[in-house]
Amino acid sequence: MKKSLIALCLVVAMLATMLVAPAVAEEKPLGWNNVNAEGYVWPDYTGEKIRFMWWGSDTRAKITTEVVELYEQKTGLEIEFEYYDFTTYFTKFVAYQAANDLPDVFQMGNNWLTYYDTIQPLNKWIEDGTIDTTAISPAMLATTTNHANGDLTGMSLGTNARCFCYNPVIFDECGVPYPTPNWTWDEFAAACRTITEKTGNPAVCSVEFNNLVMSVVTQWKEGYNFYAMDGSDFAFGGDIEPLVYIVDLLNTLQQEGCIADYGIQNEMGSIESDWTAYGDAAMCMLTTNLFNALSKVAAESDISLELCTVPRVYADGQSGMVVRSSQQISIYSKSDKQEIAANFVNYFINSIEANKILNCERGVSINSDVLAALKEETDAVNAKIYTMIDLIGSFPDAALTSPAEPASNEEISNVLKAGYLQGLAEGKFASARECMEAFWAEAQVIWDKYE
Amino acid sequence: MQKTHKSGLRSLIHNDNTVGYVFTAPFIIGFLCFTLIPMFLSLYYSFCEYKIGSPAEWIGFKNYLDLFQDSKFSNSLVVTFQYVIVGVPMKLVFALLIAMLLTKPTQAQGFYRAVYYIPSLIGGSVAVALVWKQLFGSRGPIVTLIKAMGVRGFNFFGNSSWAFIPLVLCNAWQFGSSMLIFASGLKQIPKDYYEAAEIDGAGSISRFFRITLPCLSPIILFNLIMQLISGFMTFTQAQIITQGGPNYATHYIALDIYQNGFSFFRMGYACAESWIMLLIMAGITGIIFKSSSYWTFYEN
Amino acid sequence: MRTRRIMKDTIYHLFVIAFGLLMIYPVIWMILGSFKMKSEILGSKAPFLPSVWQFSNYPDGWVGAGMYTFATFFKNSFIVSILGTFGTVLSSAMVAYGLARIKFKGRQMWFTLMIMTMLLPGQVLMIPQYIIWNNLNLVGTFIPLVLPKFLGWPFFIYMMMQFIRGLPKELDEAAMIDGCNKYSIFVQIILPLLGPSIITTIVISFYWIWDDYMGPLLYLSKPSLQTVSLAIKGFADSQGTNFGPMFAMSTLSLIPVFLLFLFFNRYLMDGVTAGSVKG
Repeated sequence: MKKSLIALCLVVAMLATMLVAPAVAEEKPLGWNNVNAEGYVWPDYTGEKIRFMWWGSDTRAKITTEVVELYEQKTGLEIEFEYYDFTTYFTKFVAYQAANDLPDVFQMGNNWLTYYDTIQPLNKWIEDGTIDTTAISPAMLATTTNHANGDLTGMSLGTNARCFCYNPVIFDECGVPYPTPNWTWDEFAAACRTITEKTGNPAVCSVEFNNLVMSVVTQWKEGYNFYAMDGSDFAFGGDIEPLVYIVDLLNTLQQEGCIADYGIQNEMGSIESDWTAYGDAAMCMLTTNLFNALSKVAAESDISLELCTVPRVYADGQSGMVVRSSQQISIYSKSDKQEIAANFVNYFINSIEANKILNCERGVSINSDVLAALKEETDAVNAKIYTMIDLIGSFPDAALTSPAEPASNEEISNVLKAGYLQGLAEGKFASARECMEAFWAEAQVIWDKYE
Repeated sequence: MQKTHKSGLRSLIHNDNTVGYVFTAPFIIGFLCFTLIPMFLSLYYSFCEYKIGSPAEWIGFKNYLDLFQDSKFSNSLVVTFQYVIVGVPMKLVFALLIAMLLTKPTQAQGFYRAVYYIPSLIGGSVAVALVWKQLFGSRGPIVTLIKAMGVRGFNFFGNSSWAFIPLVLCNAWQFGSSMLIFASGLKQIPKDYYEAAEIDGAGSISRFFRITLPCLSPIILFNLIMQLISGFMTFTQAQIITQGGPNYATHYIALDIYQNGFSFFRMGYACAESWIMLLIMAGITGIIFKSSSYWTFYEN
Repeated sequence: MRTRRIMKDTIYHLFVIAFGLLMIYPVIWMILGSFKMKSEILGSKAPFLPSVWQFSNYPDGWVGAGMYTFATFFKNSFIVSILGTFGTVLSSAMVAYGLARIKFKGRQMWFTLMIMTMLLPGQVLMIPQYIIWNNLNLVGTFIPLVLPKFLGWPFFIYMMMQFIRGLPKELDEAAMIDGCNKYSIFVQIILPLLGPSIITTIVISFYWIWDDYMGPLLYLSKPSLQTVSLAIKGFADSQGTNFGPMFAMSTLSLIPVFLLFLFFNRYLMDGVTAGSVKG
């Protein structure tokens, strides 16, 4: 009922923009709002004020504040900002949402479907060029697009990908070949067993088990995905074979001590505690934008780490890897300063000057001009991230496997990990098959609760 | 005429009802302005499907009926009770013993008390989470000790039978405020009671049972009730140390409420859970209050 | 006899010190952590003492994210905590006296309601309360954090009630005969005798307000209004936490609450009389 009302409003809004847009487009040339262009005239927002909120560490706060101040100097706009750590951010977000008082511009995660009502689609500003996309590829815009209706929910602040990292020194010592871009789970398991046997430590420390389970569904068969692209349903026809395969493999490796047990997994508060950073484990799973933090800690013990891909089911099959938006910048649907907000977003995403300060801390920039400028001055760690993102981007299936996270994902992931996978490790299920059958049954029940 | 009017006003001012409401006015105002409406709202929401940011939709008793079939909720109840039954007595006994130990008049008393109070000053910080994970972690001193005794493959944070131990100990370790309240209770016991008992020839154990415990009983009642309540609502430590895991072994009721309300966007359901919790706790505190007339001694 | 006594005393001190060391180990660990590099804080084989003392954690932490230093955050914490503690003591003592000593109509009901307010988890009251303050247009000020403290804090009300009930009623009766009324009894008899519990309230409530971050998170949005507890949380993020500076600021944040305890603890010890009771 309510959804259809929203859809109706969207249609009306889209029609309205379509009526207005041609008039604007005639006047302004393509790329008229490119902040990097020579002689760009900054808008004058003296006396105006917008609010901006993000989550992240104090490092992020420092660089973001700097960029905010730059924009204030250029345009006279006053930007009132606030920042929190990730968990508290959404508590605050919900309070603001309840009071209809969200900031005009805010950071948003891949869980945007959950907060859909608060988000203003950016399509009209893309169409009229206010948010300049001359240096942003459609594939990058797709990472933050709602595939169900074409709404652009925000501008990606950078892309990342889930992958593994490894310590080449340990691989050398154990005589294990380095991972290749299309290594398989069998090769992975063999490497783990050799390393654990030779070092006496688990070969792999942190693993995002639930994400691996979902990627293997994609690897299993062309056309399979855990969720459909538009987040409207599951997309593997209830075929639990891939789930059983990967859960059985991971559980076996864990029982053999090759993957750190849940005791150790749960001790890892953040990636910086991971044993790979201290030379105790050979591999761990992470998202690329965490690689910087991990490498920094590892460097304190003179350890240099490399990135590698997630193993596949078939060496010539699908990678199941995804270049996705790490986080995005969105505009509040009830903001009365949306025009100014859009201009600020344009600056934040596209300005080379600003992004040199931000330095891909949130993820690899989606603007090719910005990225080219950053690559010229990059350090060794960021270079590894860029290489990995480029590699994954070159996989034929990578662009197709970036489904929206449905609202139920949070709960489904949660029960998969906390209930079923840990339950299997504790012997609460006779086999991986029984465990996954029970999980699949509950996943459907949870799904229905959100419909 | 004027005189009677004046005395009428006087008696009105000094009437017990007036005095009572004058003194309790701050609480009553606060309750009516900032607690009553949220309480009623939460009760109302518990009968609704309510996602924050969207209007609430009345669904009758559905949330409550669903709760009775929710295995995660019943598991939360079980582990919360386990936590309370083990944790609360441990903390109270600990706090009382230390408070008594540290009333011994010595030069260093102030220093000692400070040392025992400091742990309570670092609260639910990130530092506590980290140090606890190291102490009880798979390479920490405690697990090393247990492994040295021949137990193989033991760990706290991956084992759903033992994961609550670090949390209970963390809670007991932060006994500072209970200790302080006991200490001020002990201080309030008139010295001449002890002097009289000593003249009667009572030993230290008999003094403890005949004077200390009875005189302290109102304070014991208070600490018991408060620790029970905070035990049932325990949140921070489980959130930062175990995140409710493994396999929901430390997924306490407050975590479940928070998760349902804020992560899964079922605020109505979370409110229903809260009200069931309220009823359970009200029952328990009610029983304790009723029984307290047999074991607490007030000075009147 | 004398040697036995010395023996006993020695055992007492040894025990208290040894056990005390065990108790404050995590605190010492945190303080040492404020001088360490990150890998020495987190590694599972991390050393107890820093290999190289990182004194720069303190200035780095103090500067925080740049715009505002911890000087601002400490100032804000002091404002909120001092006002809040003052309000708590004043209002809780009043309400406790009313509920414990005056037999008025509805007393039992209000007492029950007060206990009830403590039984609902803050998580479900949080958002409705936020909306009330938002409608009053007071979000972004210290008022939502301070004003409620002037309206009684059930924990301390009930605590003081229990202390008042421990005071002999004959005191009130004697005072009545001396011409006191129920208002002056509160000021002249009860308040002075409540000494130990008032001090306990000051110490505990100051710390609780100081340490609270949910309140400041909800009601103080601007960085210029943030408190220490909230600012310290700002160091933590899953993407990389500056643990050294964070521990440095956590250590500094301990100092005021610790000093407050030291100062007031004198009045809770024997030998110093702050309203000692002679039955």
